[in-house]
Amino acid sequence: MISDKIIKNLEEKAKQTRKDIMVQLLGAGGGHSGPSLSMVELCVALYFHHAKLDPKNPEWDDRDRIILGKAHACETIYSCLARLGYFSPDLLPTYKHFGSMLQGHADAWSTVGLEYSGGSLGQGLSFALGLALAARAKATYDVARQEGTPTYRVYCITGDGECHEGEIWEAAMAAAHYKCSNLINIVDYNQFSVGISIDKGMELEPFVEKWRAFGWWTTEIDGHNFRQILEALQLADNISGKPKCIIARTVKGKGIPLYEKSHAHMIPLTEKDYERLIDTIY
Amino acid sequence: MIKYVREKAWREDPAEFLKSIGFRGPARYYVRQRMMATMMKIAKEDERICFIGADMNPKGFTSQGIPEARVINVGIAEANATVVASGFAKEGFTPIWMSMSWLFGRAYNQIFQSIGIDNHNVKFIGYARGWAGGGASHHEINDIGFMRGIPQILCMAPADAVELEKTLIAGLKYKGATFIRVHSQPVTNLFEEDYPFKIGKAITVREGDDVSIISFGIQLWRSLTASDMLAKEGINARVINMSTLKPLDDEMIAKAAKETGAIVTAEDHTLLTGVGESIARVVVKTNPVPMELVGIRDLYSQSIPEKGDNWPILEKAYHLTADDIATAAKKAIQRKKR
Repeated sequence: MISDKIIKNLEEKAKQTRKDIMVQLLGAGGGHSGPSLSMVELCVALYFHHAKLDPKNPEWDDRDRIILGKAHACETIYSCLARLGYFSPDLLPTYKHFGSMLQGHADAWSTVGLEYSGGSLGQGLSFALGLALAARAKATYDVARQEGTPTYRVYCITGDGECHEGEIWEAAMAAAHYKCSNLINIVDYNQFSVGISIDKGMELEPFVEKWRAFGWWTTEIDGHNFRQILEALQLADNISGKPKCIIARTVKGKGIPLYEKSHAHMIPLTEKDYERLIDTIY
Repeated sequence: MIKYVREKAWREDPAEFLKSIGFRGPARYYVRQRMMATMMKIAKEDERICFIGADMNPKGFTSQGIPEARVINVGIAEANATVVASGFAKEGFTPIWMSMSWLFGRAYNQIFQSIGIDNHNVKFIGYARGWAGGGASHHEINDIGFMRGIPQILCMAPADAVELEKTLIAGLKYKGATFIRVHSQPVTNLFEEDYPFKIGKAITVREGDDVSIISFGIQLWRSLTASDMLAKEGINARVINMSTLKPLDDEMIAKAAKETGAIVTAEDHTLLTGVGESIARVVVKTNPVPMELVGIRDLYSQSIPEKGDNWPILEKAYHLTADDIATAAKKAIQRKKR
């Protein structure tokens, strides 16, 4: 049972995350507002509730791995990592500054708590698949793991536009072939890629059916409803013998009315914009 | 004076040589056999070695005792194979991703981002069938160029089965992305079994002061043959094996330029983005001397019949023969005299 208290707490964290996104965009002079805002609830649910993590021990071998395939939406993850204690929130305004730990796209080499260095789309899911398959390979020499049940889950957050990339479907095919049950893909289905809506640019529908046809357990949810997100994550854990896909219907720019209207992918942000918009976050 | 290579090695017939060491089967399978034997031996001793393949039959590995979970075939999907390998490397494994060398090109951006940026410990074994029946699409003529262009990746190209074994052993121990380009054209074992291979170290296999021929892979064989031709004309060519293609042995290049005054590079690869141009960069910076670059010139190849030894047809068509190398050497020397 997921209590109202838990939901409320996560909603507060979501608001904080949106504020942190704006702080980063201000520090950098602009960034990926739309795609970061649309996946706030998804990331907050994972980082603050569902995933097994230890901020004091980023290399903990049994941790759940979270891969940001849509690495341009890193502002969201940076906020989660900072608020969890992987590094200080004081670093957030240094986003994209030369020499900053916080790179323009999520980079493992630079930021503690990240697993993958991304930017070019379609690769994160393959990487996540590799991590997931490696879990069972470890059992071949690690006596403690020889139950056969992988000790960690691998979450990948992909974009909808990202699912145009052929490599996504190469990974999807292989994941099902290998019955990779510790791999969970979450698609941030915010209906837009960079300049155009998905339906007009390159239609993904019937999207749920595509993932199911590839052999994945698939569910579709409201990606801004914490209860639905947590229930889907729990349900996914109980499925065995196949990889899991949670298609989260979201709004690009969610949480800031101006950005919800424009669905902008990237925006510049001045002090004036910041002052004007920061209190409109809901 | 010959060093590290067997005195008559490049003058022997490969088929005869292989018969004499008890190898049965087509000559061009010898290198692959020795490669697989070496990898299997290491994989059985090191539980972190795993094999990733695109359309590879896992039975080839599992039948020899490698656990199934460490042999992953992803089907004909090179991009996925590359990044799955990267994931395994992140988890502490040493993935061996073996394919026809040119096929890595399908995953260029994947190598650039998912392997290169974090320098994941993936071992690319680019097995070249060596210009055969496949035609233009199947010939590796620019693979070294695109691989060397990935920052941080170590690139090597052994000349024969002996050097291949040593390259593999060192390459699998090395921590970081690695590319090993393996040719399968029949050669004898050029190198002596105790040749002291070292990553990054070029070696002089034949002493000489009139011109230096810097080469790697199958072209080492042809360079040695060229040096015989030159010797008949009273020209003493130094032959250098530069099997580490990145990082180059700058010191050896500078020394060769200084001491012999003329350089020829020989590669079975396009000149554009090839190793010769990089060697030229070092020569120009240190001891500028006349240079000739032997390699493929900005064009595509075509098929040759599978049966028989037909490589000489392509060698000739693309100016990669020992004759071409010897002619280039004489050209370079002539410019020296001016």
